[in-house]
Amino acid sequence: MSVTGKLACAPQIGDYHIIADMLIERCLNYKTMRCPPMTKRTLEIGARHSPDMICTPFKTTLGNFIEAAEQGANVFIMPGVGCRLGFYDILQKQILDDLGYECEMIALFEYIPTVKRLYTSLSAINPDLTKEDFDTVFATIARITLDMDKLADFIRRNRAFEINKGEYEKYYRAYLDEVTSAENAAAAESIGAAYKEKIESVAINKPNNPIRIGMIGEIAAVVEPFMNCYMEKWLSNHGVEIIRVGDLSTMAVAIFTVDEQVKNSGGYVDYNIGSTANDAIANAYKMAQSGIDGIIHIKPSSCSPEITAMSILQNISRDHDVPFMYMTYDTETSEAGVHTRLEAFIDMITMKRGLQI
Amino acid sequence: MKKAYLGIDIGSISTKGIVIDENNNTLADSYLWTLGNPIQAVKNVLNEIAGKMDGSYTVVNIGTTGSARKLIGTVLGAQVVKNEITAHAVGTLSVVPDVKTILEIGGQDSKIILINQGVVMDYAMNTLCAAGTGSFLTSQAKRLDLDLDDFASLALTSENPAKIAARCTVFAESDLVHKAQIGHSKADIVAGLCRAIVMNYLNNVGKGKQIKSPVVFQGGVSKNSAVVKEFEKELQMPVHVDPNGHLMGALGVAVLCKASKEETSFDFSITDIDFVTKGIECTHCPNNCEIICVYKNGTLLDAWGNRCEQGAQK
Repeated sequence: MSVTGKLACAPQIGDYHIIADMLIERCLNYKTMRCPPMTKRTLEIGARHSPDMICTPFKTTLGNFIEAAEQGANVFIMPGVGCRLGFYDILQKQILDDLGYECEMIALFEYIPTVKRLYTSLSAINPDLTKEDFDTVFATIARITLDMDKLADFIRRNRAFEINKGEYEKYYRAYLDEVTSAENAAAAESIGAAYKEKIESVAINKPNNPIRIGMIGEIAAVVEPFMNCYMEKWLSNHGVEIIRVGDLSTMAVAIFTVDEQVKNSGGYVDYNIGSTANDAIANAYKMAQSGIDGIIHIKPSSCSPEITAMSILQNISRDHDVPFMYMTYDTETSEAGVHTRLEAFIDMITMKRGLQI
Repeated sequence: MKKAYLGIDIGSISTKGIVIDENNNTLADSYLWTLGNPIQAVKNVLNEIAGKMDGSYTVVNIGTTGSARKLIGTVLGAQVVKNEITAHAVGTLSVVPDVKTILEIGGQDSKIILINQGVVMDYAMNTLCAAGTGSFLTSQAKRLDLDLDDFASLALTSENPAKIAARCTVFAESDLVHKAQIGHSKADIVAGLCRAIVMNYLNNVGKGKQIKSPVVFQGGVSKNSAVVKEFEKELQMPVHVDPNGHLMGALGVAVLCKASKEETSFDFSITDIDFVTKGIECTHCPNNCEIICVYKNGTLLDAWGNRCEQGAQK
């Protein structure tokens, strides 16, 4: 039974809205809707009603919420953790109220990144939510997050080489559709395993030593294709194996294990520099040691943790002789400029390998 | 017939063309203003080149670079369409094989390319805005009522350049006005501006990059000797400016053409063909993709710019 009159919406950040939707539907009994797919209009509306100098994810998520509100959504979901993004829900609720959209804003973690806190904030809204039920739901979505990130990671490494273009995407979409109905973690796991088999058996023609590019950076810019001008698609079309970190499961682990990330950063950082920047550095260090061809660091405009990370990444680049490319996205980023830089980056790596461009 | 290769670099401000032979010798070149009409500019460049060409050569391969490379590549049926970073690196290496650093400040963008043993190791390009590029210098020269040529010679006379904030053109311009109003001489202001361009470049584009000699400076701004002098002072190493520096992008794609296996027979009479472009906004979704259609004598040659199939042009 769903709570009457509640229609919840999570922002568009890759495919992760399915995780938020499951959590809200099963723990709060709210109905959920997907926000209208992000377009230029989303960015324009979001930017128009946002503080000018705030980071881009504030604008995109606000744009998502306004467009969803226009279609009847009245409950909005924000993570409530991370960098200052953890506090965006407060201001966004104020803005939505001022615009006349009466709404409820849920900050999932209420500024403390623990599973216990998630239960506390959800049970405050739905007092009937038992710890047992919550645990079942949480185990399910945790399983799905891990599985979808693993499948997507495998696909990114191989998409450039698939023989029948589009097969990976087809299976991945089918997996996402099917897994949302999984009752518990075990069911989700078996759906994941079935699709893993399908995805791993897709025919590919992969050379021995393809160009390998790492992608690191801020989650919303790395994960959401619209934000980074479909960079992964471009790279795959140009025969590149992509090794991406900074998806939801690695980010969740990173936030819970900041000390670990700092320790794994090869001495490049001594203390927590905020949000996923520790993770970006630890992973860049690992990638650089693994002999990767190049690393692309992606961030939204005015992202403070990743700006801090950039100066440190330059040291990693110099010490390990790995080229880095830094991309900053805002609401006015042109695809042509992105493609020019990507093409030059790949040309450079090709020439470095002594191959003809 | 001997084989020749044509490279064209269509920038925001100027359009450059060059024809080379098998040994990278220049057979003909041309350098004209784009004047907001890349297709016409290319036609003019091609006409000028055709007039300079020796009849015993035939162009077998064409390459384009610069911000209108895709449009012109389509119009001319180019075999090589390359980004300007790769093109500049390849072009410069063919002239200065031991170059280690290429500084480039053009009309609307600036870049740095680091090279080690003939291979590009790292590069960076300005992001987001055009602060400190040629178009800014031009507009400031106009505001100060100076010719671009006088600009450099006046700046060189200054002994005490004014300090100008150069991080952002808007701030730089208000700073410039301020310095003039409190009584700094024009020479000091202009010299300060040249210095500001250099500092802005090194702090933004060149941030964290190790600049090693030999350094080659290119792009329209490299013609400004005061900026060259400021670079030398700041880097404490000689900065080379090739008189043909503006042709390096075009030369780069011409060299890349030579390596490309595909051959065609190019006819300079293409300048008589009527090419029309049309920009349309797709209305299928709120993305409103900007689609560019290119027509050759009235029939659609190619179209691009749509993010999805809905915007495909027939």
